[in-house]
Amino acid sequence: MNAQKTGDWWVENLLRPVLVAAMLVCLIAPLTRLFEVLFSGWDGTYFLVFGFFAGLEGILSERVLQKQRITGWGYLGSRAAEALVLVILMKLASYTTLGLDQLWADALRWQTDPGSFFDGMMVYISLVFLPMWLGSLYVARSLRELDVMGEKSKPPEDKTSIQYYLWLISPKPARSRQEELERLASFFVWGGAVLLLVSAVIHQFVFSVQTLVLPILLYFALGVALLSQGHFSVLHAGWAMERVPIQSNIARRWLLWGLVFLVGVASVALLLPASYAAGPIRALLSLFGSILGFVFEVLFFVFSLIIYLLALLLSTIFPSMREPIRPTAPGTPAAPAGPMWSSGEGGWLEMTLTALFWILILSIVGYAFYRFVRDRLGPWAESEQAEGTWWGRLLGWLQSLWRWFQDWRRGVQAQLRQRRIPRVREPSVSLSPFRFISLRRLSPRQLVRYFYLSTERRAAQAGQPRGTAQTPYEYQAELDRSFPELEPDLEGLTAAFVGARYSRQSVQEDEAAAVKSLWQRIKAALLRRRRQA
Amino acid sequence: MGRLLPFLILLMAVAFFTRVEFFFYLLYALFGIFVLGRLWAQRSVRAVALQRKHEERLFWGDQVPVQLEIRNTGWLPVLWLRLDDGVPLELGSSAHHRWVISLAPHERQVLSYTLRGRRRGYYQLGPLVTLGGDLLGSTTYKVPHHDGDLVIVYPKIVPLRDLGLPSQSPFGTLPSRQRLFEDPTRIRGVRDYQPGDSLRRMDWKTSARVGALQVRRYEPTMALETGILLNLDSDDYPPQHCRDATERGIVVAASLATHLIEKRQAVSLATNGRDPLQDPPSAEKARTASALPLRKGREHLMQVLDLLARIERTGEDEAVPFLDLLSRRTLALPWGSTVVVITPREVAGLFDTLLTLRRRGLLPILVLLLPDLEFTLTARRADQIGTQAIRIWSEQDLDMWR
Repeated sequence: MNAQKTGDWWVENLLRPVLVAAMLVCLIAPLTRLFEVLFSGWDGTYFLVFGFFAGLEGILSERVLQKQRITGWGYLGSRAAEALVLVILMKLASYTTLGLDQLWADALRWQTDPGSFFDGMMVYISLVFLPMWLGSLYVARSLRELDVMGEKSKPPEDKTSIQYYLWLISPKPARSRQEELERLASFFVWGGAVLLLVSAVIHQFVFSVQTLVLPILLYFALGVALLSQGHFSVLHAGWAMERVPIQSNIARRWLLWGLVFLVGVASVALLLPASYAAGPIRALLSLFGSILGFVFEVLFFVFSLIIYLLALLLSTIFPSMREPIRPTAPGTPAAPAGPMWSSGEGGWLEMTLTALFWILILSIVGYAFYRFVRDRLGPWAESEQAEGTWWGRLLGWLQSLWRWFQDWRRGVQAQLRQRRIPRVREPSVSLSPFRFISLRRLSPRQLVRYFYLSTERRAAQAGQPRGTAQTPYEYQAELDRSFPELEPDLEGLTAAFVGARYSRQSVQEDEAAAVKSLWQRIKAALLRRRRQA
Repeated sequence: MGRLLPFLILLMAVAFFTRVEFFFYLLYALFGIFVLGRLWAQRSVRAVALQRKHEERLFWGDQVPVQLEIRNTGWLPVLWLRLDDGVPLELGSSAHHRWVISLAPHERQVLSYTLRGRRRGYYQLGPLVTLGGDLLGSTTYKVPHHDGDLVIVYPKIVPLRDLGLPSQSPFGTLPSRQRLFEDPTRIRGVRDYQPGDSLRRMDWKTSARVGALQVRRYEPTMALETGILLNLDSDDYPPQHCRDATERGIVVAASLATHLIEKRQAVSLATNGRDPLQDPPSAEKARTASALPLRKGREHLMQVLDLLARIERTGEDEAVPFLDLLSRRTLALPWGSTVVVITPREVAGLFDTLLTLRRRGLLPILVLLLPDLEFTLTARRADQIGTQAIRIWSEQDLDMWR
């Protein structure tokens, strides 16, 4: 297979395997912590470290086996041997915390009782370790597909063979790459779900989940980073297959901006409220009431200030008047009194945060509802069956409302953009019949336009007005029918006008002079027609 | 998000069940990554402004660069942006030019490719489509840019040195062998006064200096005001020579117009071909024709070449009959003008019309574009009415004017 590397070598061969191995370790961290609690005296740190390196080994060895084209039973045998070696190594690694003396003592015992090698603790952690290790192999296959740019191999010579048929129906690399990414995303989501549930159960029955914050956080952070990188690989491979030139620093920018984005979102998330002091309706009503109260207070202050200034003015005119009371500036809105609010300044802030909390939660719930309705009623609402039903009408009305809003928004944006553009104004030419026009002062372009508009006006006087929606060419066709003798002149005048009005080509003086002669002939003919009428 | 949504709901349930703040933060972060990621992609892709910079007019065989300026007008970086610019096959080596770039806030990049004027015509570049997406690949945003950039490829222009077209128009700028018409602005010298000489021709200063009456001698010149009429009615073209003959006729018209306008002569052009810029034939105006009035100057030459670049052969029963065009479009030509009639072959009634033109004081020249076994006969008949018939079957046939 003609293999071509995509992306950065370090990303493919080091960063991604490390990310995946770390994710897998995060997955087994809650159970490790649980074992530590259940089996007092057992330190699971070595297990996590070993799990990380074992996962890394599993991913990298997958590449080696694929490169050597070891498949089928050979692959299975190789992996079984590897599993055995890893379990033995894991057992030996446990002595990093137990000490060499313990190892020596146990080794003597294994000689007499080999079954003691697999004691109860070893069985438990093996039950955790092996699924994790198998998971690393599963992810490794997906990563391998993402990494290598796979071109279709050469077709077999014999076009009637089964091999040729298999070659024909073999999927294209890009398609399988996207599928692999989907598989990786599924693994991430399912792993996350398991991690969450295990953490929740542990939190409920054994110990607080706060101690598992780091592995959970790491799992999701690494998972998002991995999916982002995987998505980039799929895109990159697709572009490379299409031979699209790719900006050289795009991979670095992707990494950097992706990191900034993730850190930024995480930082903002940390600033958001994570607790609630009241229900959603009361919190939102409270927030609304506070905002309304603050607005009223500001209005009252403005009104008081005006009265105060007026009274101050009057007191200077009439010294016998009492000096007015100075208005006080509006402060932060005080929380309305009630049993649900905590007293003091913190009450308002607390209710605002509670309202914000519920807004966030309700937005997620709202999105879930939207998906629910869209997936079930979306295709139906577009079908003919929906027409005439109240639900179909409602959806149609909502859709039209949304479209109206979008149109209105675009219109406003367009107007704002238009206002920002400085207008380049041509020297204005007033063609009002009540003002004197000096043709000498007009530029050739303005002259041509003047001749045309003058013709238009005279034609209207002669009974051939130009329709509001008529283009110059349509108007010319209409005039041609009424004044066949003027057809060449009208054609020349129209063409010159269209050029002067709509094109950016310069209009020369000799052209304007030529148009003038046309205009004069047309003018005379129109005048004759007018007199005859 | 299809996969993430059930997970978020589970996470929300776990968060409410355990009431652990960390799970809420996680919920916000994951939901934020999804929502803000999409918003980022949407806003950034829409903030990209594109502009093509290129020559709008190409001569046949020219290669001109097109610069595509891409500007990120927003404050958000564009993570990735795929640009796909469509180019007509007649203008480029491939139908699409594609790139993948990323843009920092307010970054500007310039990409370029080359247009090759391989075939005369009026082309629209594009569509230019940009495609961008978010970090996790949950969605992509496609923005078409309908900028309507146009490119005109002029027809091939064959240089002609000495046309030798006949003209009877006096007071032009081309030297003439006919001594009848003299240009008072082009003084060739002086000679002694002879009885009968007009007093207007007297050169008083020279007369005073030499002590004898002298009169000015002027150069004889002629104006070669030429009307070019091109027949592009499909009915007059045999199918086997359709394309070649059409293009050859347009090359002849373009070469003649270029040559004459460069000699500062006025040229008009009329054809019954279809101009794609004009409205399509309607019920009211079922037949179309395009024409440019008699003018001179480079601006006019550009208009002539523009029209010849755009013009196409009309479909059956769509064109104005060529003889009608010939009769009507020569009305505005002044006496003595040359009329170059370019048509694939002799159509019925052509010589009657040419004779009428001859009687009106115009000088028609017949240019036939198809090989005709009876051309000798046609040439003889043309000679009988005082016109010249030329057959241009290949570009080498234009050598007679070189």
